[in-house]
Amino acid sequence: MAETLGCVLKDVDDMKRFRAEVAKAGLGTFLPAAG
Amino acid sequence: MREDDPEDPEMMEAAEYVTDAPVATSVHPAMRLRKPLLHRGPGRRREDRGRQGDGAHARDEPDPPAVLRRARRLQPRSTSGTTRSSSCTSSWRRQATTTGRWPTRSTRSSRAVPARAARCSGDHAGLAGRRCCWSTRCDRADEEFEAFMLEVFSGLAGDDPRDRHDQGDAPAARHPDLESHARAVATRSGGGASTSGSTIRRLDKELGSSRARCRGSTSGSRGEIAQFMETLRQVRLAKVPGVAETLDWAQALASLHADHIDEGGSWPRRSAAC
Repeated sequence: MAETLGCVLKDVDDMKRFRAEVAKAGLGTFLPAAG
Repeated sequence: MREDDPEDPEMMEAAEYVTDAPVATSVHPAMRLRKPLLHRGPGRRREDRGRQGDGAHARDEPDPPAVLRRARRLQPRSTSGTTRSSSCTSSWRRQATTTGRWPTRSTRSSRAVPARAARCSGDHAGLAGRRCCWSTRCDRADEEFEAFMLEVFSGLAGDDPRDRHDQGDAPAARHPDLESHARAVATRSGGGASTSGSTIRRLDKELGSSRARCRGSTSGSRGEIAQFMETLRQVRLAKVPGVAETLDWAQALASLHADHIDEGGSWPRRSAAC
């Protein structure tokens, strides 16, 4: 995923922001709720 | 007889081998998609290679390998440098919606040449046997045109018999979690029931187009990708990813045989078959 992020995020700041979001709240917030 | 170390990274990079695993994972879909791909990750620092840098820039910016530098130069195939304006696409759309047929080359404006054309089979909205336009940048040019094309491709995905043996899922099946996730997205963004409905429709369109374009991806990964992208768009980004980016990502994940996006381990998780 991290390696393919460039397909989605085309801006370096966006990528930093996304990584910060994931580091803060985890990837689970972006994924569908289980069940 | 050469005395060089066969595993010397410098030598392998000179021969356009990629020695860094994360970079190789990025290079593969970039070469496959023939598109530039932004890569950020740990790399060798320029100052480590004895170059003169300028402060923070030199510290932060890794020097990409030769293959990645070449991949950056790859551009989507375009036709004879022509440009497509919104007015052209609007007239195409009007003509297609009023006549039920996609405009032929003779009736189009000479500058309105699609960036990429594909032959579609079957009678989809009167497009039988005709070339239909698919531009990876249509979302940046004209939102209405993008919506129209997504409608067309959603129809293609649902009606095309080739989709029916795609991982054994129903041609127009909605992902089971789609509705609940759309409601969650709508609630998170402060919207009501109408927002939820529009979110569902948008996700449905995105799923349909990714189903049409990315035959290597499974229905589960397509649903996850669509939902992930919908959530990602809630984040304040300088450049909000569009449907084109979704399709690129789905193709990249399919090329890496990634079945799921999950938190455990390195994500996406690779399939057992791979």
